[in-house]
Amino acid sequence: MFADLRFRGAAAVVTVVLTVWLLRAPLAGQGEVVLGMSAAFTGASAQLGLELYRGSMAYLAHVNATGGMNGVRLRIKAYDDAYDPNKAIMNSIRLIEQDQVFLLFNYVGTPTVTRVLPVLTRFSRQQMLLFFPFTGAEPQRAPPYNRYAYNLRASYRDETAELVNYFMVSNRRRIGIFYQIDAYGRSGWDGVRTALQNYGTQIAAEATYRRGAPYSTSMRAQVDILRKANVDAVIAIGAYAASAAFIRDAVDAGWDVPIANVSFVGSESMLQLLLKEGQAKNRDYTSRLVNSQVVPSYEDLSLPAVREYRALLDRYQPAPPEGFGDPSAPPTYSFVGFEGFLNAKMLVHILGGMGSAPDALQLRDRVEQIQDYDIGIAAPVSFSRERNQGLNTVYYTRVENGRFVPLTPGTKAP
Amino acid sequence: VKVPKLGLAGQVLTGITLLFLLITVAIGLVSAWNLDRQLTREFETKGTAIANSIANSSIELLLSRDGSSLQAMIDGFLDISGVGYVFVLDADDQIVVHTFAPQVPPSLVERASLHDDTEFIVATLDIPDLGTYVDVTAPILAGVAGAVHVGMNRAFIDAEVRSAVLLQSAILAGIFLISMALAYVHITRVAQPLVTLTAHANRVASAEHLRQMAGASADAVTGPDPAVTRIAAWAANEVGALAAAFQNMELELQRYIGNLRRAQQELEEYNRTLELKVSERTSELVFKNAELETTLDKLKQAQEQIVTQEKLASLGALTAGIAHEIKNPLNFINNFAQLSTELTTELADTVAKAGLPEDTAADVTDVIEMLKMNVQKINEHGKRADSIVRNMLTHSRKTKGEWTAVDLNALLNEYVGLAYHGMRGQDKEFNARIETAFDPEIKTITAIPQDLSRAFLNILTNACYALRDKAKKAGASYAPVLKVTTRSLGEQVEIRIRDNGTGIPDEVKARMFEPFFTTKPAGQGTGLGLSMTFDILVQAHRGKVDVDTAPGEFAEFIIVLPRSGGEAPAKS
Repeated sequence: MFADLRFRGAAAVVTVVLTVWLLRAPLAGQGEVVLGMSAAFTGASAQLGLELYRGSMAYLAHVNATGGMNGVRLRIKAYDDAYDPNKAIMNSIRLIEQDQVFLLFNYVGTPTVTRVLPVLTRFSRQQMLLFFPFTGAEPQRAPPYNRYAYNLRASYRDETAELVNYFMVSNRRRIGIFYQIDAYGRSGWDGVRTALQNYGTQIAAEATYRRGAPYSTSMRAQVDILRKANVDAVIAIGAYAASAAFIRDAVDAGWDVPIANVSFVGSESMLQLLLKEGQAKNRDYTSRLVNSQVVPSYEDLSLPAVREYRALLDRYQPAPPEGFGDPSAPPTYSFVGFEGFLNAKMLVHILGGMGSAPDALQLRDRVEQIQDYDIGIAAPVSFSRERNQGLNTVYYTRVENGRFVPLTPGTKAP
Repeated sequence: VKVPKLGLAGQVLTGITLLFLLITVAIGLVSAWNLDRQLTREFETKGTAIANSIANSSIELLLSRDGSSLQAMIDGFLDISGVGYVFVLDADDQIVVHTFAPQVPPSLVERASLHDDTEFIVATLDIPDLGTYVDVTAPILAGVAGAVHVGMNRAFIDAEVRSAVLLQSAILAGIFLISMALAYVHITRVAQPLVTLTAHANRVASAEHLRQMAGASADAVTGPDPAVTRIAAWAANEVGALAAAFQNMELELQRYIGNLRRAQQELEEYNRTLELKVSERTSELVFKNAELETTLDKLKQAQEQIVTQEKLASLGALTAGIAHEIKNPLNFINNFAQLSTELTTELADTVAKAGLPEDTAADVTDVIEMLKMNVQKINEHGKRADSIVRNMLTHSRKTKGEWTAVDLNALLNEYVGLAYHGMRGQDKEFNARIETAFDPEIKTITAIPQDLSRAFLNILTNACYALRDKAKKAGASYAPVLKVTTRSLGEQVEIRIRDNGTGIPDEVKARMFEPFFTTKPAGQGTGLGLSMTFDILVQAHRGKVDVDTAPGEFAEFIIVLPRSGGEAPAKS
C-alpha cells in the first residue's frame, strides 16, 4: 500500500515537473519574469543585500504597478547566502533548478560570485546569465566567465586605480592596503598592485582580516602592521563592519592617515557605525575618509536617475525580502540602494526590448545591442561582445557633516 | 573479626580503578602516538595532494588572470580540514595570494624563496604566533610559474588526537563506570552476605552468645540466623555454600557446646558425689575387710577343727587297731590271772593239808598269800585294761544305731539327772542346782539316740566334775549350778550346757577333744570321752560344738545340731 502511494506520489511529482517544464515559456510570456537573487541578508554584510534588494524593488514595484513590462510582471526570488560562497552556490542551483528563474540578478560579493560563476557554466545550455552582481572583481569580467555575466558597475580595478591616482596626486606614495583575505580582498589588492605598478612602485604594506569579522573585532593588529610600515595612505578593501572597525582602531590609536574604501563597503552602513562610535566617544572618525563609488551620489539631484530613485523609493517603500531585515524601518537613500535601483532599471530596459515573452536564449544578443543607453546619471551605458561591463565611472566621496559628499578628483586628500 | 572499612568491594573496585587508569593511560598514550603518527603521515599526503592540485590548477590563473580567481580557488582548499594556510608565489617569488590574517608571518616570507623548482618539499615549521605546521611546497609549472605552499595545521592533529583520546577515554570511562557498577553490584552481592556472615560469626563467637548456646539444652538449640538462611538460600554461589557451611558449623558448634555443657555438669555432679562414693566404698571395704577377717578367723577355726578332726579320726583309727590287737593277749592275762587266783587258793589248801612244819607252813602260807595278792592285782588291772580296750573299741566302733526321731528335751532331761545322780553316787557331799530351760518348739529331731545320749552324758559328767572340783576348793559360799538350755533355730537346734565350775584353761581347751587327753588323775579317765563326744556330734550328726569358758568361772558347751540329723545318714 505504501509502495503504491509512493508510486503515485512519484508519478504526481513527475507529472507536475513535466507540466511546469512544458508550460515554462508560455508562463513567462503570460505572467511574470522571475529574477533569482542570492545575497547577504544576514551577517556582517547584511545591509548590502538588503539595500540592493530594496533599491531594485523600488523600480520593479513601479514597473509592476504601471502595467508591467510589456504586460509582464517582474519578481525577485531572493535567498540569503550570508556572504558565504557555499551557500551562494546552493542558492544558485536551487534558483535555477527548483525556482526556474529567468536569470540571476543582484548577487552580492566577490567570493560568492566568483564561486557561483562555474554554476553558470554548468547551466550555459539554457543561457543562465548573471546580471549586475554587486562586485567589482575581475573573474566575471574576464574570460572564461565574462560570457555568463554582465556588469553594470565599474570594476575594483577601476576603483582602486582611481584611488591610487587620487593618493599619487596627493603625493602619498607609500600606500598600504587593508583587505579581506578572500577573493574580494584579493581583487582589490590586485587592482591596487596593478595601479601602483603603473607608477613604478609597490604596495608598501598589507594587512588582512577574515571575512565575516563583525564591528566588535579588534583591528589593532592590522593598524599596527600598516602603521609600522609607515604608510602615507591606506586603501581598505573590506566589508563595512570590518572597515569601520579598522578605521575606529586607527583613529583610536591616534594614527592620522587617510583611509580609502571601495564601493563594496556599503558607505552608509559604515558611516552609521562610525558616527555612532564618534557620538559615544565624542571623536571624529570620518574626517580622513575617502570612499570611491561606482554610482553618483544620491544627493546629486541634478541627475534624473537620482530624482527618480528617491521618488520611487519614497513612493513604494519597498520592504526587505520576506523574513529578513526590519520591514518596519523605512528605506533610506544609499549608494548601494541607488545601485540596485540602476541595476533594475537597466535590466528592465534590456528585457523590455524582448517583447512580452522574453526568451533566455536571445538575452545575450539583446544585451549586446545596448549602446549608449542613458540610464539617467550622465554616463551612457554600452554593452558589446567584448564588453560586459556597462559603466566605468568612479566617483569619490568624503564625509561632511555626517553624510557623503562628492569629492572632486585631483583635489588634495582630506 | 572486624570487617575492614575498605572491604572486599573497595579492594576489588580500587584494583579495577587502578587497572583501568593504567589501561586508559597506556591506551591513551599508544593511541595518541599512533594517531599522531598516522595523522602526520596523512597530513603530509594530504598537503602534498592539495599542493599538487593547487599547483596544477593555478598555472593558468597565475599566468593570465587576476588574483581574485586564484584567491577564490585557494580559499576553497581552506575548507578542507587540517589546511591551515595556502600561499602562492609567482615566478619572482612574490607572494601573490595567501590566506593569512592579519599578515603573512615574516618567517614564511623569508622562506618564500626557498623552494625547489621540481621537487615537493615537506617540512615541519614552527611559526611564531600561529603554531606548528606541516608545510608542503609544490612547484608550479616546474617552477617557472611559481610555487605553492600548503600549511597543514598540526594543532588540528593535536585536536584530533586529543578528541580521539578523549572520546576513547570517555568510552573507556563509560565501560569502566558500567563495569564498576556491575562489579559493585556483584561484589556487594558477594560482600554483603559476607559482611552479614562476619557479623553473625562475630555474634556467634561472642562470649554472650556462647553462654547462651551453652545454656541452651541440646533440644532447645537456637535456630539458624534468618539472615544467614536467606543468604544460603538466595546466593547460588560460593557465598551461599559458605553460608550453608557456616550454618552447619554453627549447629555443630551448638551441639558440641551443649555436649560440653552436659559433660561439665556431669563432671561437677560426679565430683560432688565422688567423696560420698569414696566414703561409701571405704566403709564397704572396711565392712568387707571385717567380714574377711571374720571369715579368715572362721577359716582358721575350721582349719583347726578339720586338723583336729583329722587328727582325732586318725587317732581313733589307731586306737581301735591297738585295742583290737591288745584285747586277745589281755584276755589271756585276765583268764590266767583268774585261774592263777583259784590255783593259789587250791595251793593254800594243799599246803594246809600237807601239814608242813609250822614255820615252813607259815612261810609257805605267807608266800602263797602274797602270790594270791599279786595274781589278784594282775587280774584287777587286767580287767581294768580290758575295760579300757572295750571303751576304745566302743569309741572306734562304727555306729550301728538307727536314725530315729528323738525327743531332744526329754533325752537331755533324763541324762542330766543321770549324770547328777551318777556324781552324787561317787560323792555324797556333792550338791548342785540343776536349771533347765527347754524350748518346747524343738519337739523331735532326727538322730541316733544311743550315740547322742552318750555324748550328752560325757559333757554333763564333765560339768559335774568341774562343779565338784570347784566346790571342794571354794567352800560353802559357792553355789554350783548346772544349766541346760535348748532353743529351736528353725532347721537347727541349739543346746547349751553350762556350769559355773572351774572352767577350762586355754591349753586344755585346745586339746580337750583329742583322744586320750585327760585332766583326770591317771586311772580315773581314759581320755576318750570328749573325743567320742566330738565324733558323735560333729561327724555323725554333722553338728557344731563350741566351747565358751573363763577359767575359774564357767564353761559352756554350745552344741548346734541339724534337725534332719545331717544330710546323709549313710555317711556315718
